[in-house]
Order: sequence, then C-alpha cells, then structure tokens
Amino acid sequence: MRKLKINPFNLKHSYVNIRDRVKYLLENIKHIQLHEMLWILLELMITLIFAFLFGLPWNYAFSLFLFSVFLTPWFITYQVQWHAEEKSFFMLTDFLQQLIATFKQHPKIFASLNECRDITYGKLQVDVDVWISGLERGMNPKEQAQIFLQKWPHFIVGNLIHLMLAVENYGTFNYAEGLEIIQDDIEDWLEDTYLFKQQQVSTRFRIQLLSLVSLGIAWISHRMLFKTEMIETLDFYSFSLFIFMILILLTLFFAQKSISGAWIEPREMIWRKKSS
Amino acid sequence: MAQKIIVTVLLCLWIYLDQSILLKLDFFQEKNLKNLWTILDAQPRQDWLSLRYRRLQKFRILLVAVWIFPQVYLTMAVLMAILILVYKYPYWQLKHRAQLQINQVRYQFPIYLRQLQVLLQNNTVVKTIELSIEYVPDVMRKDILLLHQNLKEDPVNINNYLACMNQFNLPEIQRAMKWLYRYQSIGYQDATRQFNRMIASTSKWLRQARLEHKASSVQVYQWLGLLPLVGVTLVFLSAMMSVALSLFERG
Repeated sequence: MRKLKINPFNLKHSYVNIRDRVKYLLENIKHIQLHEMLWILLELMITLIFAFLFGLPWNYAFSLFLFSVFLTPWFITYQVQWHAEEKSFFMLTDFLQQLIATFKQHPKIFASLNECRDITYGKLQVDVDVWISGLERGMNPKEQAQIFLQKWPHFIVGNLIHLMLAVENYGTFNYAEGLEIIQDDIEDWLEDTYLFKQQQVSTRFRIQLLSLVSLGIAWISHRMLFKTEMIETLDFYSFSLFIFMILILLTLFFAQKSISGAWIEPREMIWRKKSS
Repeated sequence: MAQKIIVTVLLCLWIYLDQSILLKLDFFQEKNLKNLWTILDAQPRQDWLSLRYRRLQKFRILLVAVWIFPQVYLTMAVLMAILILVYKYPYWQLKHRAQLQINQVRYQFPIYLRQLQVLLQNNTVVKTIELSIEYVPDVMRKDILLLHQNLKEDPVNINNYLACMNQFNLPEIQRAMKWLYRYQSIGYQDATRQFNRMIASTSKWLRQARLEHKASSVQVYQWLGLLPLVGVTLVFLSAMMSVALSLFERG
C-alpha cells in the first residue's frame, strides 16, 4: 500500500490519496477478525477509562477522546495491512512451490502456469493471467516473464523464472537440482519471515503490556498522593497526566505501526527495471 | 597566562606554516581514503584534502577563545575537539557512505550468487557470469562486467577472480570467488562437492544477512517500551513538585 501523503497545497492529490486509502481499507477490512477489532477498541478505551479515573478536567479528557478517535482508523489500517501482506506473502510462496513442483514433472512454462493459476487470487492472479494470455497470443516468453518479474521482483522469483526460461529454451539434464536450490530458498524465506513476524507481534504485546503497567503505577501513585491530602493546586499535575496519556496513546500507536511492515522484504526485490 | 601565550604563539606559527602544510597534506591523509573512493565508484577530488584544510583554517580563529575563558585546559580541550571534528567530518561522511555501500553489497551478493548457482547447473563459469550480467544488481554491475571481461581473456587465472570486488574487503566475497575459480579449473567430481558446499554456505550467509536486517528493524521499536516509563517519571516529578508547592504555600 502507498504511504499516505496529505499536501495542503495539492488538495486533489491529497483527496486521491485518502480515497485510495479508504478504498484499500474497505476492500480488506473483511480480513480483520472480531477479537482483533475488539482488542484495538479496548486499548483505546482503557486509556479513556484511566483518564476518567485520574479525574482529568473535561477539556483534557475531551482532547484525549478526540485523539483516540483520530487514531482509531490508523490502528485498523495497520491491522488490515498486516493481514493483506500476510495473505499476499503466503499466496506467492504457495504459488512458487506449486509452480516448481509442476515444472519438475513437466518442464513447460505455459502448462505449469495454467495448472497453478487456480491457487492464486487478487493481484497475483491478474499478473499470472497476463503472463498466460501473453504466451497464448504467441508473444516472446522472455518478455512476458519480465512483465511478471517487474510486478514481483523478488530474487527467488527472478531465479526461478530465469531457470525455467533456460530449461525451456535450451533443455538440460540437471535442472531439477537448480529447482531444489530454489525450493530450499523458499523454505528458508518462509521460515525466516514467519519467525520475524511472530517476533514483531510479541514485541508489540510487550510494549502494550508495559503501557498498561505504567498506567497502573501512575494510578497507584495518584491514589497515594490524594490520600495524603497534601496537594492543593492540580493544574500542573493534570497537565503532566494529560501528556502522560498522550505518550501512552502514541506508544500504542507506534507499537501497532511496528507490525505494518512489508512481509516481502523490499531489499530482496532486486529485479526491478531500474536494477536491470 | 603562560599557557595563553603559548597557545597564541602556536597559532601564529600555524598561520606562518600554512603554505608548507598545504603542500604536505598527503601526509595527513587517512590510509583507507583511496579505497573509500573506489568503493563509492567515484573519482577522488584532487582538492578534497585542501578543501578540508581550508575549512579548518576558518575555524582555527576559535583558539583565541583561550583569552576569554578562565579554564585554559578545558577550553583548549573543547576547541581541539571542535577542530578535529571540523577536519574529520567530511572523511566520516565519506566513510559512512562507503559503509552503506558495503552493507548493500553484503546483502545483495549472496542473492546474486544464488542466481549464479542456479545458472551454473547448465553452464560454465564464464557463460554463467555472462548470462547473469543482464540481471546483476546495480551496486556490483561494474565489477561483474570487469570480471567477465577478464575471464574472457583468461578464465583460469586466479587473480582475475580475486581482484573482483576486493575493494569491499569482504571475506565472504573472496571465498565465493575462490569457489568459482575452483569450479572453473578443477575436475567435475570434486567441483560438484565444492559446489554443494558453496550452496550450503550461501544459504547460511543469505539467511544471516536477512535475519540481521530484520533484527535491527525490530530493535528500533523495542526502545518504544521506554516511552511509558518516561511518562510515569514525568507524572511522579510533577506530583512531587505540586506537593512541594502546596507545602510552601501553607508555610
């Protein structure tokens, strides 16, 4: 998904950008599970509940409420992005594994693509269809493969395509070994990416827990302070509590943002046109 | 007073020797400077060292500050640190850019090597490198083109392999180049064994590069955990301050 850029001097561009973001959100919101949505709302609600417990003046509490409302779509967008990226990643790796298996049996690109087409959907299916229809029209196989590679420029996709083209063009006895190397690469890629994403989720959870603990500590100290009845002016204290709550909201926001990174590492996309 | 006079005399001496120093700037040149330019694939600017020295000349006037501040040694230490910073900054910048380039190569080379390994299944080393040129990443294109040119002339000369990308001084690249040389020069049976080792090693390297990159991206977010703790500290401090203020008001 493109980065959201709002430029006050280019309203049309900003409008298109926001419209794309909303469209993306509506298209993919179905992937979010109910408990995830509830968790997001609960996170924001907890902050507001604590604001109430701390007895913040209404202007601060209202500002916090507005800030939470403003952040909610972002929280949801990042969750949606996570699911969309996850699906896209697993679909691509499944497709590649299936393609390798099929090509091993019968080393013809067109036949293999036709056989694997059904396990794809969305953008990948569109790109595979373009590839297949190009081959059907009798276009140059290398050019058609390059079109696909521009859309999915990961190095493993590149290696597989180059090997398949070489096998189809020149024929060889040992191509299965090459395919096995690529298969191993896919396995490693899957394992590394999945572990990393799990790590990201646990990091987010740790940060959320820390935020909750710090809210608890602040609440205990607040109660102790008011039991002593030694405090008379609350202006500065209320302001610092407000800043604290904003910090908590920002922490939760960045923790949520941390999971929104791409599943397919951009640094591994080395076969884009500018690189070739 | 004596120290201030010594500093002033030294400053005058420095100004007097300016032309001689300018002529002998090569003596102060960092040892790896040429290599950094090679890594960045840029022509070293002839006047680069003199430009750095001229910048230093502009800042040396700060040494007069020893007459203003009472702590001469402390002032001198701070001023020397500033002058070293001014002189070294362009070099550090260059080094940083070169380091970024090295990191990029370290990440992309095993990926490229994988491409070579796949192509090596059906081709000789020279043919493989020739076929890979179309897809070689930008950061190493020039080196691979040079390697290909050299190999076309003499494919069994080990120096041609070892010279490829040696400016990056990465042991992994040198190992890979030696493998390629052995693959080209020795018999098929042993080459296959070598080749399998090379595949295993590249897999390890590739994963390591990937995991390192991922770990560093997670670390950035782990620091976020400190933010709520900073917030709590702020609340504590403000509570204490409010209590103190109340106590003062009560008398």
